[in-house]
Amino acid sequence: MFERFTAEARGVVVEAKSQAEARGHSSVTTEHLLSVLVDHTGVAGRVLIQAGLTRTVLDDFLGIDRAALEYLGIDLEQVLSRTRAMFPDQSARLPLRGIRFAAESKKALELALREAIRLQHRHIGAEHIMLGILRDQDNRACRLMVKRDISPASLRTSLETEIRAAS
Amino acid sequence: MSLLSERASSPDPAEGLQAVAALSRLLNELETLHVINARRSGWSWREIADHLGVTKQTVHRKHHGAC
Repeated sequence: MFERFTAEARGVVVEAKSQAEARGHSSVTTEHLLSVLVDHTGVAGRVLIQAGLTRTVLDDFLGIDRAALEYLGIDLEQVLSRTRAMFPDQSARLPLRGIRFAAESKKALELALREAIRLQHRHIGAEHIMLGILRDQDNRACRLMVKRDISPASLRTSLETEIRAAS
Repeated sequence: MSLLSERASSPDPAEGLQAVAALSRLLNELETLHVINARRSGWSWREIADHLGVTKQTVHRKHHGAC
């Protein structure tokens, strides 16, 4: 499936993974994908910003773990680095490090492929990943939007309008 | 002035609860790692339970899948 991803779309996936890693999260969720897309200069990023999903808003959601622990006086980085030093051989099963793709993220990427086919595009770009995320209303990214009174369905409509206008 | 001191003395419940939830997730992950390590070092479930201060059943139920 990934062979049809543009370099840009692959970049989104890779960056989402490193964002999750940097925050000490154990899996890459659609929120991490969303958090990368918001910085995207193309249509996907533009539509998100217009809807009010900014970098600050997403950081507030994603940064919770680290900031929450800081609130208690616990430095997550310290805990992680000591733990990795204690168990260097266990990285594969270390939930703190052995980061995996959440099922909902895999689903979003599969849906991205379907969206590209539906729109008769030969490639899968960042905008298709965004459409894929918006297709599954049960994922974390869509739930985050609903919490902020943003309708994933109407975001879909505006994104599709932009995509069609651009092509 | 009085507002500031009130704020300082009553922490935001949401923030506090989120912090505790984050700590609990971190604790679970760390516990799993240390239990795996103990099992690999040849410790019995009984010994692990004693050191964690829980029953053998509890530690076995929580971790036997990971070890």
